[in-house]
Amino acid sequence: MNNLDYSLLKGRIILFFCVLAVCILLLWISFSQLSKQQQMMGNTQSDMDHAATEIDHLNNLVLLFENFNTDYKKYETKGFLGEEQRLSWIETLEGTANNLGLYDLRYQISPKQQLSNEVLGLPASITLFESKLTLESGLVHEGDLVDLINSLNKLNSGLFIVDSCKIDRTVENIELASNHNFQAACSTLWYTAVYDEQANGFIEDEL
Amino acid sequence: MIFQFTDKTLTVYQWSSGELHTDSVYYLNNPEDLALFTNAIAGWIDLTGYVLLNLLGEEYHEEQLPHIQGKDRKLMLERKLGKLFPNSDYTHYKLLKREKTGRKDDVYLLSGVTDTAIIEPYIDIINEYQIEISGVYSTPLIIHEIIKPLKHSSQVLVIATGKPAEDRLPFRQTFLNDKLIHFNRLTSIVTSGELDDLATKFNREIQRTWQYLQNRHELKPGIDLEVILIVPDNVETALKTQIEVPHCQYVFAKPEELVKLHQAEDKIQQPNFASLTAFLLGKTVHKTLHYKPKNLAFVRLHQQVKRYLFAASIISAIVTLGITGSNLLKSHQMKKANQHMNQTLLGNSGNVQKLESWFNARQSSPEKMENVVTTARKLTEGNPLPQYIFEVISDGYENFNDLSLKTLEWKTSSTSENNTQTTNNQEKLNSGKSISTNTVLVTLEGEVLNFHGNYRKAIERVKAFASGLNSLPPVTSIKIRKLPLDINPTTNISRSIADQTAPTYALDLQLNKGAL
Repeated sequence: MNNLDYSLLKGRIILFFCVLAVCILLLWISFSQLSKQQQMMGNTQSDMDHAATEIDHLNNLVLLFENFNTDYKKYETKGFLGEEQRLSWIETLEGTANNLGLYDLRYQISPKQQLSNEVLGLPASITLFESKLTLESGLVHEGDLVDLINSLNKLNSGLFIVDSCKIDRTVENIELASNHNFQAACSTLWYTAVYDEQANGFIEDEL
Repeated sequence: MIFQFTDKTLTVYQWSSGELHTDSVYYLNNPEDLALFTNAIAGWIDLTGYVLLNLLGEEYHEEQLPHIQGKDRKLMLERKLGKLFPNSDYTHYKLLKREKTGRKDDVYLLSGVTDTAIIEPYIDIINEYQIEISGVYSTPLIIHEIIKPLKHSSQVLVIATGKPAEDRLPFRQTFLNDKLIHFNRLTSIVTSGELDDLATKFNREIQRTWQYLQNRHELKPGIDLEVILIVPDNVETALKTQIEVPHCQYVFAKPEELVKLHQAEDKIQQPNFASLTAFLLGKTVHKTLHYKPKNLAFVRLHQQVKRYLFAASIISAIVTLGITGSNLLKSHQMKKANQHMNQTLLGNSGNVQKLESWFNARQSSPEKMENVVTTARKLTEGNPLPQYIFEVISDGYENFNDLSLKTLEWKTSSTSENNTQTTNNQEKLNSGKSISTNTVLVTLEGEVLNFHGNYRKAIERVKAFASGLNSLPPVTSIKIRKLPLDINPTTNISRSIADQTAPTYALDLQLNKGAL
């Protein structure tokens, strides 16, 4: 007697299942819509993150640019990234010596050598070359050496470095001036470099 | 709705907001009333109903049964009820007490309606219209609620009369012991004749009941039985003229007084014993059901299932709408956020393009600049040009015209870990060491002028010269390598005072390249 007579409940059962079906449909639609929006948002967020990273990177590059631009131009003008101008060195050296009356000037330029980046701790993109210029000359006074070295230092033909110098007074009495009061010998270095764009492909690709 | 059945009538009450209204009264034996009821019931569909029985055929038995529990107890009681009330669907049992001696049996009150034929046509109609009956209650079983405000003793006999029919006055005797029914009987008295006769008959019935209870040892010894009489005024007057039954103490209660004591005078349309009973039922419907007839239970079950299904549908719909609304709101918010992000992204992409164009226009990449500049700075750091060296050394000689400079030598240097070896730039590069150098080593060699054989003065002058050089900012250290006279105790000294050769000195000093 207490068993359920489903025919009496038919209306409510149909109503319940209709409501259930509509609910499931609504839930499916709303969740799929939400999922779609979440996916779109995820994609956009990913793009945003990528763009933000890119902008940060570019801002860093701008910072680098601002930090190094002035000096870079200076060294570029100095001929650090160019070819050696040995003719200029010789012309300058001999021209200055003639002007100063240093007729016994002797100089020697060694062949250009490539230096090892790894042991020098240089970036892989830089190929550094070095040429050694040694000179010897008698001097009327020590200022001649200053003029001689300064004339070379002013050249835009690479980075000029004085490695060592020795200057000897050759006369006993400094009050008796002559045209060969001092004997000077200097060892100088000329550095030039080549920058390999491919070695820093990351930045170039980014740009 | 409350359907109150007696053997003669069905009274339908409406229970609403704690108030009882009499809707209609039907005579059970009248087919016209049955038709009227059938018409009226259509208006009560979807309402919940309660049935209150006050029938002559309702019997009460007190049974002492073995103390068992669980399913066995249920089966035993059902079997017992089946024997006492065969074919009756209206049965009820209630545990009264457990004996304290002997087998410690349980004492049950078993009640049932032996003949429900008189009410069945109405119950069938109620079922037919699917009126949900939430419970079927017995008037005697709630009689203790009626007399509750009278502050009676624990043992009390309640006598309540019903509606007079023809020449008989029905009345119910109910003996309560601690609110539990131990005896109940519905009977009637012939009302024809003198009132004194009626009172005598009443007293005789009370006497018989007292004797019955006394024989069953139900009454407490030495205490008069309290008899509450809810009787018409004429019966009350007649009873008061006669001597009360021995060992009994009468308490007369009018239905109107009971209604007042229950604070129901404004809540009952027609106050009387029957309507008060219905009123109290309406107030206490949450209590345990008395009878559970299967046909009514069947309808109730279906109505409950219908209600649950409807509630489940509503809850499902509300939950779904809530979740869907929340999801759609979130989707909408995300869509807006997404649009905003897309606009920002567009702006960022524009910025990226601008920056890229900016870099492209400059041809040189910043990293190239960084690498080139860093390398060049390393190479040119502290380039010891002659002019600077001469300036530092000249500053040192400023107050030392008696010291001449014969040889000046300098070279860039890097101090090794043990500070004993130094190498110049060229050597370092060739040996593969870092080109970053810290110092420039300068060597000075000269003579002491105007010597006049005074070594002490010459040595002091050289030391003073060295001290002066050491105080110059670019000079980090100085070492006197050679004094005008080597005064080391371990050396051999020989000199002719005729020798006027100027004594020489030699100094080694370090310049900080950072200052260059």
